[in-house]
Amino acid sequence: MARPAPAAPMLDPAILASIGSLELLARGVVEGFLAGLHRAPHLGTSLDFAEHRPYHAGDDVRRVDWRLYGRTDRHYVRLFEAETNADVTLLVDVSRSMDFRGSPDRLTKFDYARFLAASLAYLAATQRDRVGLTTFASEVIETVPPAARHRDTVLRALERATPEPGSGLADAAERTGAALRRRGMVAVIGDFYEPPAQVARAFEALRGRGHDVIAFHVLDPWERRLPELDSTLFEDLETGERRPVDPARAAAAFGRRVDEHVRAISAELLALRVDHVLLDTATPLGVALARWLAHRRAALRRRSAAGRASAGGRGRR
Amino acid sequence: MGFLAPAILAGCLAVAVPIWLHLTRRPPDRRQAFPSLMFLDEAPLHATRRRSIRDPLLLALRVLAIVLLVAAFSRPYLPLPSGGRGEVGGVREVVLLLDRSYSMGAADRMAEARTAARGIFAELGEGDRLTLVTFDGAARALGPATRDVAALSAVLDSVAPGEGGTSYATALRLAESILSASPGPRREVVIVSDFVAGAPSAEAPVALPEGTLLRTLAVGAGPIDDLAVADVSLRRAGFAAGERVRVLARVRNSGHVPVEGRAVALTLDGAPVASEAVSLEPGAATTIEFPAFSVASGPASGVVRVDADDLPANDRRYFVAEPRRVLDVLIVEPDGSGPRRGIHLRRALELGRSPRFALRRRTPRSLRAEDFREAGVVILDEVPFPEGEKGARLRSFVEGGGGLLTAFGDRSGGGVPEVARGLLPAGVGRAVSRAEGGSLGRLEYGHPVFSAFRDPGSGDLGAARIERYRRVDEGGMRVLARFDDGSPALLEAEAGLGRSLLWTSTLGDAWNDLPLQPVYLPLLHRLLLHAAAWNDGSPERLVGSSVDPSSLVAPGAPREDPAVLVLPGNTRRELDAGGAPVSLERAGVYEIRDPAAADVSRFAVNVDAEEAGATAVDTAALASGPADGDPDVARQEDEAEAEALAGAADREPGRALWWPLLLAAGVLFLLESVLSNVRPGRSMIGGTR
Repeated sequence: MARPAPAAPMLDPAILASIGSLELLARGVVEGFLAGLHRAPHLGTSLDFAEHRPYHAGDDVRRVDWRLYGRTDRHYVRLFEAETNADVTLLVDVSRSMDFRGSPDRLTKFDYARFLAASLAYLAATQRDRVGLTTFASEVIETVPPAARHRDTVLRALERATPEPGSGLADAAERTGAALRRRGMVAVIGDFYEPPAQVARAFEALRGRGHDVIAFHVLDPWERRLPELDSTLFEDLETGERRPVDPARAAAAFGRRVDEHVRAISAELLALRVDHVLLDTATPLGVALARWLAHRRAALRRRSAAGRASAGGRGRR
Repeated sequence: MGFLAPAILAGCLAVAVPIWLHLTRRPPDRRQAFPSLMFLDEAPLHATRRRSIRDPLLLALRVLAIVLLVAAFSRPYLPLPSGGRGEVGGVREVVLLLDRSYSMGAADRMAEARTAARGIFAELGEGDRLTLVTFDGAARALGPATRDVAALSAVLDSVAPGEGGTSYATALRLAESILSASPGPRREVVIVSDFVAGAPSAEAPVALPEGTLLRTLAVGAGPIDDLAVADVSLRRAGFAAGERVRVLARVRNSGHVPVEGRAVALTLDGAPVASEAVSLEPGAATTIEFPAFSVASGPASGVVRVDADDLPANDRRYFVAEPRRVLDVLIVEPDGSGPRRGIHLRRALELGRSPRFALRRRTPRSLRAEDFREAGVVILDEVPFPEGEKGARLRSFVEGGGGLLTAFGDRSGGGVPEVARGLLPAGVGRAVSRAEGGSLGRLEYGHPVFSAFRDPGSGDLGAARIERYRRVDEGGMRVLARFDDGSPALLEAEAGLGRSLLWTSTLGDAWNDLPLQPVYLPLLHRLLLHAAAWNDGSPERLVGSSVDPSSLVAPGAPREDPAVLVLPGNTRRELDAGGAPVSLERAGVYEIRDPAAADVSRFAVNVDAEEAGATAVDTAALASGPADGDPDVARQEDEAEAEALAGAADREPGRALWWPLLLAAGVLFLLESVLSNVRPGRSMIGGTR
């Protein structure tokens, strides 16, 4: 099983910020991450069985599963993990609330999300998955449909992204789910400053179409625990609303509410069988990549199982 | 030290507000952008701890600046020491013009005026002299020039507001005559007034003697509650079952506060008839229509009044309603005129209802001398002024109070007979053709003929296309209207008791399209009513005006007892037709009891509705200096301009202190701003932690 990579220098978000090229950054992250894994870089190059598919003319007859033929009287070809290309779509929140960092020595959530999305795109391409991207704020900003050669397009789109006003996760999820022609994997990266039920509805839109979804919930450390400040006029990055706050007095209630919010979202997503990964901007990207790989593996297994069940059902008929 | 507006000193309490605010509500020191405020509680105001003042210097600066600002607006002044002014530039001749118009009866205006006047008395130095003059529509010196402050104060205490309007020009002319006769090296005119009116003044500036300093002291700056009955008009209807009159009262809120549900009541011959409630915002006006009443049985006098307010003088308006009379119009047309000749003129007059016009048509040939006997006005419609006996009778008709309206046309050229001298221009020139069509240009909108067209939307006299007119020598006639090329269009001359009007184009459509314009009918009616000096049986006169007794009683009529004028309050005064004009000092209904007349006639006298209002009088335009630009006059104008910039028309009766205080406050604010900026970490109040 893939485990979180050690916090290698290249995976430290603060160091990543000094790298100008997103592609270079993603490559550094992914290769550094993979180097820390004990398994082969290309999952599936081992002979791990993945699934069956019907035989087509031209297929290597050596890969026909004869035992299955014996049971079902139909020709099926055995596929291995390396050959199961998945559609991977990255849904990245670029709203203004993401453009925040509590401390100047940390990444903004926006940059963290971009770096994570770039790394995931690079990793997916390495695994020969088809990768696509949707950035959204109050509406969908840019869409790159999943394709085998879209890695650089995705990276360039991430380079271009800037913080935009508003946040419309539900709408973006609905549109993205509807635009994907095949079931695949969707990684949603955002801060989810919406009521948990509303967040859940957004993920329902994706799950309802059969996609395997993972939610990377990115927060700054200050968003979990208020720092000790003098009385401060807080200004909402999304709405511009200003509110005088005494952090010393508000910190406890704030921390409790944030925890409740996170727990509520986690519970809602769990119910939807969506992996919820809580990250703060000081968390090494390797942690997120490891969770992604675990998610991918589980998703592929679910698909294989489903494929076998489907094939078995057809065979029994 | 005194204050012109001491009530403003209460504003010093305002210093407590910033102190309290800074002690209890303090904006956070820093600003922090944050992704979302959905989990953050607003810091409760009551939870902020009481803080100690950390920077007393800044606090002191701010408080002091506020105090100075308030003090400046309370208009402080230092009374000049006795003789102070006289010692500087020689003795002064001061004329103090004290407004006693009815608007000074509002609230405490007269008391403030007395206080201001005493301030002027206090400035009198050795050798200075002061003449106290009260004025409304007229001006009167209350004694000779003196420095006796006690005597002046005694006279001052006896001054009370009257019911007259305000004429600054009249007062300034009296001041000018007093100063002109004075040998004093320094001349000064001080006007103490409220300097407000219902409408901008149309008075021309008065030229004061060279070197005269004009000072204005405004009183009564505070808001007043003043609902005024601005006008009462009568609308007549019905002839068959007796004439009925409906009273229309125009009520205006001339004060500064809204009026809610104030009663406006109509009283006829002493009996209450109807009452309506009005609600008006300041400056707004409305017209109230009361139920109609009959005047078939004779004239009725009445009053429309509103509930008492701060200014009682304009709370009532009197009127007299008499049965309608008919104005007899004698139209003289060219010989051989067809039936359609003058059709526009006749149709327009036939539509007259208030009054009705009784028309008679004559030609120069059919005209008889006795035709003038019944006429109220004669129209010479494109016919020359008759000569011989007819001309003499026409002239005596005009001089006896009749009206003459002459319109030129194709047959009006040539000379004017000697008998018409003074009624028409000496020379009548050729007809001028305007190929592209001219129009009426400059009009005397203040004249009764055109006053109804003054307001926008009340009739566009300039829309008429004038194709021809006759050029005339203005001579001694007053030009009431000119065409756009400057030539006279309408002229007026008075002769004896009557008047003559001359329209230099046609009254029909031969030379212009005026008869096709909507303004034709009202213009023609007003021309005839003015020419005939027509009154509707209820002539309204203003307080302060005077009336010629000969216009009230028939001169030379045989009577055993003298005619009597009964004034409001039942005061009686004998009327002698050849006597001095009667001054109308009080508002009310005046009654004329003439043994030689069959009936008692009445007329109403009212206060000038334009006296009260919210329009500030332009004090800088009251007086003008010599044409060569006297430096004192220039200084006086500069001061007036400075006052205008300061937003006040008044002046302190001593050394003004407001501007150095204002300057000091400004400097303190500037200093405070600099200090608080150069020490951003320091705030006036201590921190929370």
